[in-house]
Amino acid sequence: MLSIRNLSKTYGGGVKALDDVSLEIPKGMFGLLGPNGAGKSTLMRTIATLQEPDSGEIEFDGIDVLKEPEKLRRVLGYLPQEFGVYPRVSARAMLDHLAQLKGITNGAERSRLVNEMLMQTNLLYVSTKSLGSYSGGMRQRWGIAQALLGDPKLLIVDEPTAGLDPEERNRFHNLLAEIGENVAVILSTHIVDDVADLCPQMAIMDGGQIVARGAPADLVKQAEGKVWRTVIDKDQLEACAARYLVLSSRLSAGRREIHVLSDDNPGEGFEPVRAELEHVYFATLAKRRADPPAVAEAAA
Amino acid sequence: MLGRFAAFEFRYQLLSPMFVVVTLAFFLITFVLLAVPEAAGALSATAHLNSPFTISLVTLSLGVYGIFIPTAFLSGAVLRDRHFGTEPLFFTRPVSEFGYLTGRFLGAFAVTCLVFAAVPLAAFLASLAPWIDEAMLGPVRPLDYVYAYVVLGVPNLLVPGALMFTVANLTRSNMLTYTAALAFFLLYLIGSLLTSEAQYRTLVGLLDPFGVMAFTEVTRYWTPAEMNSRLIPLDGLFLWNRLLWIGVALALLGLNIRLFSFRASGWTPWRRKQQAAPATPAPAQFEMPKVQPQFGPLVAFRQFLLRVRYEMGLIVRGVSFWVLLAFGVLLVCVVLFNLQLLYGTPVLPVTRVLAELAAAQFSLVPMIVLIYFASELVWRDRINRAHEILDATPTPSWAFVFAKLVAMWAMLAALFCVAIATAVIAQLVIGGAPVELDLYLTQMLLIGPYNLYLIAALSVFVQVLANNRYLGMALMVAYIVVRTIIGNLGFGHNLYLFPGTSAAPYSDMNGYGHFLVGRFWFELYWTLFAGILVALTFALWNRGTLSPVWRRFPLVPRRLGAAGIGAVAVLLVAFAATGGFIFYNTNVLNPFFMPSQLRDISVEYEERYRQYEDATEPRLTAVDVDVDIYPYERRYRARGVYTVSNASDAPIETMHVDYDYALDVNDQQVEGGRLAEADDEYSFYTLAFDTPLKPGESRDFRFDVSREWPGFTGGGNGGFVIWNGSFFNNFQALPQIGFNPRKMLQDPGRRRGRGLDEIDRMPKLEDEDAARENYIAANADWLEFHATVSTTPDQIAIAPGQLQREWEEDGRRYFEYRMQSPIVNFFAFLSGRFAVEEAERDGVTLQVFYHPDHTYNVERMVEAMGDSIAYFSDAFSPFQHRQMRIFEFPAFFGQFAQSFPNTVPYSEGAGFIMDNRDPDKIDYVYYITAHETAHQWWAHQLIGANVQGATMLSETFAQYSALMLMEKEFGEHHIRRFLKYELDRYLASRGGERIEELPLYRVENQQYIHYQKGSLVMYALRDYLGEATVNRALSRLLDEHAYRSDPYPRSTDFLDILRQEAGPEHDGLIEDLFEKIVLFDLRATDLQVTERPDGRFDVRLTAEAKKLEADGEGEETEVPLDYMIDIGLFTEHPDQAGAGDDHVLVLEKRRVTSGENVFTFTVDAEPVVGGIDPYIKLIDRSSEDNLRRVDSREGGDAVDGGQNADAPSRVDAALRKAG
Repeated sequence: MLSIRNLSKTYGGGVKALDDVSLEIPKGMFGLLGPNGAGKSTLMRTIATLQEPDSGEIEFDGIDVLKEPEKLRRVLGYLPQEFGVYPRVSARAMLDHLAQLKGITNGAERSRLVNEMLMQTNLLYVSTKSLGSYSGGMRQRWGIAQALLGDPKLLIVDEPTAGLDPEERNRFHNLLAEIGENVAVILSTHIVDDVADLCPQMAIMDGGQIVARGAPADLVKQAEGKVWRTVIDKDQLEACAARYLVLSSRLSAGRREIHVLSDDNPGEGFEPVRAELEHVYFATLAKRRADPPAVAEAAA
Repeated sequence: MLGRFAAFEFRYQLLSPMFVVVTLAFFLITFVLLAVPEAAGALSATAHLNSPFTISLVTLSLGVYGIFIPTAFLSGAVLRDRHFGTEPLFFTRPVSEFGYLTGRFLGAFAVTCLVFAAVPLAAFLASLAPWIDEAMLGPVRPLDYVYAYVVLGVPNLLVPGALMFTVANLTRSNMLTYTAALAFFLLYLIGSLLTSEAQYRTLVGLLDPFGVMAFTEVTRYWTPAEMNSRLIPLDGLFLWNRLLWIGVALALLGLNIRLFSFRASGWTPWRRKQQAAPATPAPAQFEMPKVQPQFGPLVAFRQFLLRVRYEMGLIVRGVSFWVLLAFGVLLVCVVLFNLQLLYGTPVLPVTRVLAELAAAQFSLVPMIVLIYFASELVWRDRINRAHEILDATPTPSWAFVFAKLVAMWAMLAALFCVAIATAVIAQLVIGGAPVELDLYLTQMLLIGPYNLYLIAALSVFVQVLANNRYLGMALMVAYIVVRTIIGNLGFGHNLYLFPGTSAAPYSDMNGYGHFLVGRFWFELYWTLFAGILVALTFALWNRGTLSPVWRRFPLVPRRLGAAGIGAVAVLLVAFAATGGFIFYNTNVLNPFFMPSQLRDISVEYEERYRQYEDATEPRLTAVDVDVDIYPYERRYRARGVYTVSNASDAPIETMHVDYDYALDVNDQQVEGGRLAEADDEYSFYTLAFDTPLKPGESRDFRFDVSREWPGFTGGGNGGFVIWNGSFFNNFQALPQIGFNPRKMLQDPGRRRGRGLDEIDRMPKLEDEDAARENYIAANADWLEFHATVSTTPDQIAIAPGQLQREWEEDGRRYFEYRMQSPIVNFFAFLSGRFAVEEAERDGVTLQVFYHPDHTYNVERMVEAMGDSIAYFSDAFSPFQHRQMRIFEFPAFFGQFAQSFPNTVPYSEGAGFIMDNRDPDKIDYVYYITAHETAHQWWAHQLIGANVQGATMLSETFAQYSALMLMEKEFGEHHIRRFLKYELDRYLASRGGERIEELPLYRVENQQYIHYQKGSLVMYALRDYLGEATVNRALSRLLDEHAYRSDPYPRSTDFLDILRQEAGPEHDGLIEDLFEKIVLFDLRATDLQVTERPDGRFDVRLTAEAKKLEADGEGEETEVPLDYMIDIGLFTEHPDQAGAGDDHVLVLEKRRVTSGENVFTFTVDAEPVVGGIDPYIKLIDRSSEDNLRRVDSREGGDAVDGGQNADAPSRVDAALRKAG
């Protein structure tokens, strides 16, 4: 169990990346959903012992993460949002190196592990090629392979599917889904489907704060019966936005299809739509935009 | 289009922080260089601080060392787009490649020029500084600065700039561009090493892209007058150099435009191939393998080793490392094949010399490693953005940090090993001396470069502290610059200049001796400090996201932990304790003075005691001294008696005695007198006679002095009593009578600064009072000498004289010496573990006392001594001793030989290791030995008065004597080659004259005059008068003036005799050679050969001739010439011809007058080369144009002249023009 309590971090310039964040994260897949700049990566890095918060506590399985980060690192697997590689080192060699750094000292054990990881991420046949020659998707798969080395109990994956094509994304999801029940996996992303497909528990983060928390199904239920759809012309968009809470706007056969949130039927041309997680997400964000929380603290 | 790009580039670079920083840096460096007198002195000791010469030199030098400015700005102009990924933005717009490229270049180049403008500006402001000694400044000429900037500065920005621009364009790689800049710089350095040999100078002058070599070559013979007034002319070698390289730069730019294309992505050495993802689906079941990760200190250690291997592997796989290595090897090679040449003859490749040279040359490479690779190692993970993955692993931070440090040390060690290997191979290839691997390892791997390992720790620490790789590198560069400046200015004490240590010079005789003690303590001190730095590096290490360094300070205690804090505390305590111990040794046990304090002491001494400068003192007539040397305890004691007598007409009431400051005066008393005043601080004592010393009366002065060297000193000056090879003279070790003018402040500038009057370098020739003293020692004439020297039983102790007796007593070994003839008050003592080579010749015992391994040239020395004594006894006067001895002393005392009465100490580096294997090379062992032996006549039978021209009587005549002997042994051809070096050195040294040049007969101990010009003058004299006449004059001089003391002989005495012996027809010649500064400008301008019907040849040679008289500063005026000068015709160029006369068709003196002269000859064979003064017996600033190849030949077939080997000298002549 990962327990985050009152985590705060302000960067120079007054930017509040984390604003009194508290979360309880159980074993299994946990989705952290939020737009770019919400503070997800800062939170991920802080948990992964790479960054110090200004205040707060983090506890995992009895380890005080902020005071004893080295203990957490023993059971941690981390896939950063952006990572680079030493261009002229082979994928296998780098995996082997990292495996040693993670404490897998037995040569035979290590080589078996590395092979298994390569196989699972479908990189076995290109394992001797240099990492610099890998495509984006292959690099991500290698990334998850290194994160999984050493039998981690806490796995943090930060924006893992950005830049992957649909096939690769699919493969990636399968991989994540297989990771055992005893591992806490935090999946930080701005892609709603990732969370919807994979995560039994989730939270929405925006502006450094946790603004929603719970099982996706439960969150969706809150929006049940409140989502409506209609098709309008481009020039009507502004008028609609003024009158309704517009959740999303898409092009459809030359005209605009919008979804709005409303407790009752807004009327002409609107038909009900089954609520999706996406709607919940947009709704949450839109409500915050319309009604911004007090920013007095940030200016201080 | 072009304009817009240029304008944008200009504005962008102008507003970057780098612009401000670099401009500021260059301004400061230039200002400090010129405004701080000690620093400027390094540039040119003689020219004004704001002379065109100095300004030009500063501009050029900064252009060289500032090569990274154009590199940074111009490569930045190109690589920025690649780095930031904006290439697609530009390359898809409707811009022309030409506009884009040229615009970028122009904009960046304009900024570069602007940055460099800081240099002339700073130079100008420096000259206005109010604290500069006026005498060092000339008139302010703003045009000089502009000229230097435009002609010297800007092309030096253009050339490397264009080159780097091209490299950046073609490779699109930051690293390769900087590597190319480095390669360029190192090539320049290698070229500069080749200029020690004359034959390479023109070539290097052309090929040096910075024009520094061309500049040096053109101004080589400039006098101070010229340096202060002339700007380097845009002609000759210099012009060609500029044109060549500007042309290269423009060609490169053109190449850029041709090759550059928006579509090409740039050449990378390693093409990246994108891998296709195999299409097999992922397996359905995913079983996570069970592993047991291990943790703990043992695992951490293995991870540390893994990281060390890893870091090193990455370095080794990079290009820069190999480039550095290759250039290091090249640097070492070039030096090693140019081994400490003296007159063109190398020394044997003994390990001591090779290790020293290799280490010195190679030292630039480790510096670059320290600065650049430290930043690489520290920032690489972050640059590659792999740091987050690494930092999330359980490996402890210390494993990462220390691995980088160890990798750095390993890299340094690897580089040193390669340098050692290179040196060993070179030594084996040249051959001749044994390879001492242990010495290589200590000099070049362990002891010698130890400091570099410490600086490596500093470098890593600075990188971590600075939190920014460029700032870190800049700080390290600043540190090195500041440390160098402080060290050179003499402010430094090794206790606070990290990582200063005392010197530990190595000598084959003395090994490292006692020097290692001091060295060890200093190294320990700084190692402890480095340990603290390492601990702090670890404690401040930024794990994870980069945060400002001040945020990490609070984390330090937690990082270190109790053990770490304890360790740091222990290190701090040990550091302080060691520092205290060192301070005790360097400042308490031994005196320590800053340079300014020493100056204060000199001034105070003068203030107190100069009043006695002209006092009449009793004069020394006999010395009887017992010297006890304790080499392994590094101390000595001298007890003795001076017999002093009153040589004046009036009674003397007081006697003054002066000692070297460092001596301990245990006791002193004079017969019939007492100590009246004692100034222990300034070592000056006044003794009063109870009854005044009557004229002609003698009394005894007894003394007991000693000196020891306890502990160690900060500077590493180990004193003159050492474990093996002790060597000291009476001025250092014994009392002196009277005021000691050498203790005064000598430097004219400093004297002016303190309002003291000028000291004459030497009294004027006409000074009758001064002529009553000789120039070596005051208050002493020709002495009787008797000495007993003792040392340890394993060593031999030496004093001048004939060995009377040798015995052992109480565990000490005693030697008693007595001189059979009177000597000057200048003698030496030595002690060492010598092997002895001995020979008997004509009743004289010849001995060489040498370090047992240095057998190489010992026999030659004996031979030279024997030949010298034989010839000089015959030509001048009988030899006054029964033995003649040479002694070896350690190289760090100096590279010289010195002549005491029947005792010649000879440096281990000066002749003992000369490489004598090539018979074509000048045998300078023979020469030096002959010279020093000749001094037994010229200085020890006759000594000059203390006036101008004194050293002519000793040094010049010794040179002449040696020359005559060499000619008999090696032939005329050999001598001529030797004299070419003398001529070059004389002419080049004139520019270094600080006060004024003087004619030979008034020489004021100026080496380049009494040695170099002396050789040339005497040789020319011999040529005109004949050896017999010259020798007769010298012999008469000895006959009439040997052992004379009142008055001592002067140069005019010799000239009087010479004029009598030579006859009035040579009065003009003698006046020109000795009494004036005369130079000739002789040029063969045309040589025509016509074959006659009878098979003989008519030859017509035209020559331009000028005679010039120069004043003390080098200003010349033409005077009428009317001389008999050699005219020669040869079938082969004399420089290429071997010994012998076969190639000489004609060599006769013809009358030469000012202006054009035509000479006609008829000869039997066809001449190929001809000229005026072909053997350069007359001083000429451009001697290459004395000879010339045939210009036109008529009738019959041309002689097969073969390779025009004269071509270089013709090019030289064309390029030199008006010398």
